[in-house]
Amino acid sequence: MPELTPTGAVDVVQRQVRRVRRRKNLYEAQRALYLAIAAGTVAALILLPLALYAPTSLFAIAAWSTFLILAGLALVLAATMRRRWVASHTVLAWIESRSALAGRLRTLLELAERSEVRPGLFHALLVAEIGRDLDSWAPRRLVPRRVPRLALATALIVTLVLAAALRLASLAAPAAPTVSFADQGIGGTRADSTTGALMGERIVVAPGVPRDDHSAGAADDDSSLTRLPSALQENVRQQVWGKAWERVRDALAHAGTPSGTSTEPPTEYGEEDGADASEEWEIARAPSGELTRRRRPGVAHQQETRAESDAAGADGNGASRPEAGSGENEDGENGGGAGNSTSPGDLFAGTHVDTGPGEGSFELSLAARMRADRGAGRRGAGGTAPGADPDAKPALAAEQRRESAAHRMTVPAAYETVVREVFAHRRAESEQP
Amino acid sequence: MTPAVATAAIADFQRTFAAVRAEMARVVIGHEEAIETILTAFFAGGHVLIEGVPGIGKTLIVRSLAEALNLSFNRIQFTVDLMPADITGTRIINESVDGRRELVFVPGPIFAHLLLGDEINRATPKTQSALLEAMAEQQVTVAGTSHHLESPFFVLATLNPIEMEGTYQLPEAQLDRFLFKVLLDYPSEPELVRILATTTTADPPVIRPVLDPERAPARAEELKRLVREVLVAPHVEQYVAGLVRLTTPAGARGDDAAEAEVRRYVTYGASPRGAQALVLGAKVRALLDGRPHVTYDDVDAVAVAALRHRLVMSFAAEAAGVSSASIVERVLRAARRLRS
Repeated sequence: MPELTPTGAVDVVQRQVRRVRRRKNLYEAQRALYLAIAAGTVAALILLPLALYAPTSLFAIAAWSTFLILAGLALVLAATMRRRWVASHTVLAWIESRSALAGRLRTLLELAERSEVRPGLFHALLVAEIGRDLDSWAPRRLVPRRVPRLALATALIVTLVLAAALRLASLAAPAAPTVSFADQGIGGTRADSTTGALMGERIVVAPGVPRDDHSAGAADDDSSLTRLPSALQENVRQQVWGKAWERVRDALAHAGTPSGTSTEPPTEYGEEDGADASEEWEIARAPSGELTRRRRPGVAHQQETRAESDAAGADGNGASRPEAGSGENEDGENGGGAGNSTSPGDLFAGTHVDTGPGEGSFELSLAARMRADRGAGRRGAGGTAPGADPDAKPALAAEQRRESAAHRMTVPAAYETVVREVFAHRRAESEQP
Repeated sequence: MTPAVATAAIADFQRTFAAVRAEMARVVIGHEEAIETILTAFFAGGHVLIEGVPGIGKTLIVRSLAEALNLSFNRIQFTVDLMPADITGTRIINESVDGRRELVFVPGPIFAHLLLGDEINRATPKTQSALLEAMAEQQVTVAGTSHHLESPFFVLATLNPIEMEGTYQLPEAQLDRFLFKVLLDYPSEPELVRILATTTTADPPVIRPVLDPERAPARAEELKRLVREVLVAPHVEQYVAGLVRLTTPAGARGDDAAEAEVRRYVTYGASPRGAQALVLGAKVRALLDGRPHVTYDDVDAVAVAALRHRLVMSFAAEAAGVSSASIVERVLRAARRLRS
């Protein structure tokens, strides 16, 4: 270290002071930035699974909570940085508090600003002492590291974890739900006499689709702040799942259960069978060749292909083919009176041996929604269900037929006949000639 | 002056100070802090007011200091009938050998390097005020003629806190002229044992002069000038100013408990002389620490001694038993926020 001269000492010292301050403040700025990044990334890590899989209400709570916590953390970070930031008027005190200068630095520089004060007896000694100690308060000594390693490492680690989580999430994109539209009612009857709702017109299968729900309060409150979490959630899904999510959303929208509103299984099913959200839903296949066209050609093609393949494997259960144009407009969209032609044969996922605890019985969860009038109509040979009559007057349907979902379910072989009997399409007694 | 010379000067000051202190310690048992404060005041160029009960070594301290410094020493026992002329001196008619008569000034006991004014509060205010000019201007005026007092001029006045009947409280103006006020307390039991052992023998300890007899006054002045050369940064001056302002009811306007006590118990705070005393005392402390500049801690070290006698306490303080020293200590704690 070159020896300071009294005349040039002030400039040398002032330059070093500036370097120390610059290095210290740069360090603090980096530290605050990295910690902010880490905090934000951790928040994103928490919100990501919720955005992808949680209901909107839960995500909204989590998002707002996270936002508040982040805001608090930001305030704490700002206050900490303000406290640690070295201002120009406090840099000398800061340097002296971290070195053994015992006020020499401040004395020299402050007295140098007093032009009227002559250099005193001890001025040369003061300069010499500062020159001797110049290295003891060098920037690299007072701020040993240029980069706050811990904060940087934290930010990097959590960022990498978030990237990995995003990758995993994109790989776990939900499969597009299969939506089938039947064009005939199940026997043309009302499934639920209490609500008057027709069932079985449209059956949706949506494997693994995350459920969204809106609480009543949220539905009423349509402010932008309320919509913000759902918009964010939708955006996250869009960003993470991309086309896959678009397919899911479009399919649900076409099925009348727009995403973000309700893709839940019907209430009675959930209550009766205790189904959970992860249970796969699937549309009961329509009779061969009777699927209606979809809004989206790609989806329609997919559905029709599937329906045809199903029809090829049908056992000739006598399900009547719907007449062309029934319940369908010229655009190929389902009209308000779209009928159905669901065959009970299509409800069976397959014959298997019951592995349940009771040998003489099994639980038929489908019965709750797929009621049929007993004693009506005659079965065909071999116990097959009679073909459902086409909807003679689709335009006069009492109300819009509801889209509803149903299970394919596994029926023990011994019960197949019984189930077919139960779900056989029959003409209502009042409609029988 | 080169750094080496400055360093040597500081070392010389430290050596002299330590030597005087050591010589005094041979005679004065205990009272180390008081001796250091008195020496600090001497080299800072101020005067000291010593308060203590009789018989605890006030006079001994002053005499020992004079002997150690090899300076002239006079003692004035203040009584109620003491006149100003008894202190400053007077003019008398002197008849020369040729028969001419002329008025000749006969210097009083104040003409000494070290002056001990014993029980100064027993003299009348008129007599006490005779000291004012001497302490402030280092000169006395007799019959319109000013007589300069030789440097160094150092006054140590003692106060007897008991037997207050027939005493005259020192006026604030005079109190303000003392750089420090030192309280002498009773010696501890071990110190008392040592006092007995050293003062009741056939060969009591004798003080060896530290300074050369011929050059002692000049040497003392040289050391005092060195003290004045110590650097004081503006931030320390700011701190001193803030500290002194905090001792005044007008300056203590904050919500701090110490400031509330100042407003309640202090009628008048420290004057600018108090700030000067802080800085000068701090300079001596800095030199003793081997530094060419003053720090906050130097100021704090002398604050109580420099400010305690400058606060005029209220009746509420007397009723509550609050001393000025305790107020200064609390103000010191509150003043830490003034450190930038």
